[in-house]
Amino acid sequence: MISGQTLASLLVAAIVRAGLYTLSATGLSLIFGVMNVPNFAHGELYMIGAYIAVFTFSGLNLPPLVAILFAAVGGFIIGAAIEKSIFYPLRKRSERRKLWIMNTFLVTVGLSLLLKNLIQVIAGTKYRGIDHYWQGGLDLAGLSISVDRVVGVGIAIIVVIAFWLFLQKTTVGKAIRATAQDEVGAKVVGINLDNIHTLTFALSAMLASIAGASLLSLNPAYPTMGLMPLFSSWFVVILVGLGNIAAVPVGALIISLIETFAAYGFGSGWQRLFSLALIILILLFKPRGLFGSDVKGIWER
Amino acid sequence: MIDLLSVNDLYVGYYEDINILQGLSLEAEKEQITAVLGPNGVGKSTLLKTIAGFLEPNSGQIKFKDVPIDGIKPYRAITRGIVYLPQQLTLFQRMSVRENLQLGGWTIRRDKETIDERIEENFERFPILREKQKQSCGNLSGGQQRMVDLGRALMSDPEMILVDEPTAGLAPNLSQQMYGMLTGLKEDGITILLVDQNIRKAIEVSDYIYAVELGKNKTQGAREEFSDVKEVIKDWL
Repeated sequence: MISGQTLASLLVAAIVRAGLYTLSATGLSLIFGVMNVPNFAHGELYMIGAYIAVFTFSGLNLPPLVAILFAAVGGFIIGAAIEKSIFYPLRKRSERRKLWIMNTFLVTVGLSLLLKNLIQVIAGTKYRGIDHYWQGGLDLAGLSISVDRVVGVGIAIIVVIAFWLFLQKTTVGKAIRATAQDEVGAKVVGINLDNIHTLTFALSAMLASIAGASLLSLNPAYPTMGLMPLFSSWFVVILVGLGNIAAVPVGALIISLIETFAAYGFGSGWQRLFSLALIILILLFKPRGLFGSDVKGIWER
Repeated sequence: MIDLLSVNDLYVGYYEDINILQGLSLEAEKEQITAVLGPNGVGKSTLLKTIAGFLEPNSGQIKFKDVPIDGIKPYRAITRGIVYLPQQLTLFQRMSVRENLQLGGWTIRRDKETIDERIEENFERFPILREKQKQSCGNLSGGQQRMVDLGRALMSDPEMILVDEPTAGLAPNLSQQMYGMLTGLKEDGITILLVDQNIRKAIEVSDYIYAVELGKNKTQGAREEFSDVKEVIKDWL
């Protein structure tokens, strides 16, 4: 039997994990919804965020929030640069769009390798972690939680809500959703898709980057650190339905609860088995994911 | 007689050396309805897509108000005053009627006041949309969706509307309503270029008609000259 104390700390761990998954899966889902790009380099954007934070926090001795802000801005700029230099020219040359998903899948796998090796050249293979951004812990009903975790979850919640409001309330956010719902319609009203695609990719990279930066004390920076968040983000996105951004937090919570408890009960090597088994089961009965898909994918046109 | 739009010797195709339009020319006069008619697959939709900037011509000229516009981007066509209504509805199905109309004003998005005014004008034109403004477009009937589609196009205050098969799939009474709306727009000073399968009806509402065959001009003339519809379409059937 699990004691109350252990249960509580497992729940806290699951919530922290869910915050991280929500941040990174939201971006992944958005890119797929708007651009139909299955981004397998998403983990590397998370990795870049962690490195930027490490260098600004322990290298330049800047305050934690500034380090996370740097990671956010850096992620945004790098995301925009990647879109303009890789996906934009690719899109111009594949007007027929038949092989778009397969092509972009391969491109992102290549990009992932490139970024991993690039960071290895720049920063080496060493683990670069920090002890903590903030000293101390909070006492919550007899349970001690480090301030880092609390702030990490807080940042995730604030950023996700802000992002959600941006998509729902602002004209540019509406244009992003419009592009995901009907690309021809977006062109008909005069939205410049090139700009929307660049912005979307940049925002998505920014979210992943913030995730990598804000939980630095739990996950140190190293070149291949992006693999696990990439998998988890895909699990979440597939579970709730491709491109369905609203349901991402729910999926993130489900996946992180399963993984946290599976790791506790069966050892951390087994945690993925349970989340994957659940995904297979759900896809068998609901092929479009738990909550259905928002994407008008190119195969439906 | 002022030609708002002129198309001259236009060659367009989806592949470089296969042209669907093969030297098509036409003029659309200001504040009139000009119809382009012809059997399936002669390039009528291709023509509208090219004028709207969705396709680039391989050769030929398109002029709008005497300024060349061939090969411009769709969003530039809108800022010049041309709006395109594709045959398939392209509404944002999971957004409300109001949001769809707002996005119709994308090119003037910084001018919130004008956008609100034009939404109000649309509600006066289509009163049912006022009631349904908060509903998702996906939940509206086919006829109401057509109204949103047309309303969204009017948000940028276009001088010219390119309409592709506006009544495809509509019930007869709704078709009738649609043609009424197009005539209303013409009376409001909007120039319309209409592509239609419903030949009889299209001739009835149009001022000038072009018949197209295999990407080329076949015949043209004012409505009166097309009074004998049977004569015009006998080759197409």
